Amino acid sequence: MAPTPIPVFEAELLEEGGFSLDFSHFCAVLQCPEGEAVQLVRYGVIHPSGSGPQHWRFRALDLYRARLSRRLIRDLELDLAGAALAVELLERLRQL
Amino acid sequence: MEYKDYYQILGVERSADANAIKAAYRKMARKYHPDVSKEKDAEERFKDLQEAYEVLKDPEKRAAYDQLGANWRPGQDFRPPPGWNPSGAPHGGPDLGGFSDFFDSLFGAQGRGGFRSSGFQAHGEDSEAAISISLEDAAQGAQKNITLEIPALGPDGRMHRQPKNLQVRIPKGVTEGQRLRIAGQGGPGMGGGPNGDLYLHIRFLAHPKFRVEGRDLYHDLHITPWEAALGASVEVPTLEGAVRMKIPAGSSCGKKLRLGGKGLPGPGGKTSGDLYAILQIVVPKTLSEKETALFTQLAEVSTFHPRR
Repeated sequence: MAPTPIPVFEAELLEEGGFSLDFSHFCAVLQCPEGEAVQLVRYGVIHPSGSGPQHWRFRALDLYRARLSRRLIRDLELDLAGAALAVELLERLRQL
Repeated sequence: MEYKDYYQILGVERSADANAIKAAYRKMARKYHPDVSKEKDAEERFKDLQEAYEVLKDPEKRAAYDQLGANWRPGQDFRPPPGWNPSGAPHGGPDLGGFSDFFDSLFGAQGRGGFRSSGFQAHGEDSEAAISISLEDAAQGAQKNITLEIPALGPDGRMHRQPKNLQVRIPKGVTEGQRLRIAGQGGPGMGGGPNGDLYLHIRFLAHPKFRVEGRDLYHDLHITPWEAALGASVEVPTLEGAVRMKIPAGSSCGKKLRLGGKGLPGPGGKTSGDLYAILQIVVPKTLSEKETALFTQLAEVSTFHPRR
């Protein structure tokens, strides 16, 4: 019997990904209420292109940063400002 | 199953009040959170912390746990006492699947039932791993076979780590430190929620010929003293094969010569780094009679004095 083929997955380069997700799609993928996503933008955790939710476009990197901040808020009981700072510092640390 | 000492895990006395428990959890969670910690066993330690905090922060669960008494030792073989029916509230949090058999034996069964019937959905955890690739793979793109340990939901409804094999197409133009996202290949979602994503951190394997800085490559190019003095056309390796490069006459050791566009390509091959050949003048360790004679003659006639 032939071995089961291993599936091949396309990898998306996080740092270079374009702004492809609109606001509702971003919230759906993130499974987060729109109000919470607005707060993530307001506190500088994520940086969509465009002005205002109707025109916002998000990158895969925003998705990563949003999920990271939500884990930090949930697990370390941080507030949004603290999570925004932690995400920024973790990213800088990673680049060193 | 093994008994877990939740007080010891959080590093608090059995008499600790709610504030002390919260403070201890926050302090330890900062140390062992997998997104923050560099500790080797961070993930396991953090899971233990979450479990301990889940029990000790809740007065009812804590009271139920305390009913077991203080004479148990961590790791001691444990079975719930006959007729065990704690007054603690069933666990209903989204992390239930990650807790231990010990926790489940005390609180889990009821909690899981309530959890599932509540219609709760949760996004699966993202997974992160490192992948080491060659410079050639980075320059040309590659398909790599990787095996990872990722969380998976077992038939008993609890999380286990299990190996997963997948082929990943690595796009052309990645560099060290960048991350690749593979959508939906992280931990499984719960209650019908979507899977998490897998993030692969790119590391470069050491290359026998090149060092990397950003997208630029550096190569130590060994040349003879007469090539340095007289100039020469020599072969230089690149990721796409050897090319010829002109060494100007009078080149000193350490001189940096640039081959534009022969470094690592950018994403999609749009922009490229450069390749720098660093001249290293290599002198033969042993000289033939004739070579000795010629060098001696050169020493006698030359007016060059580099230390003046």
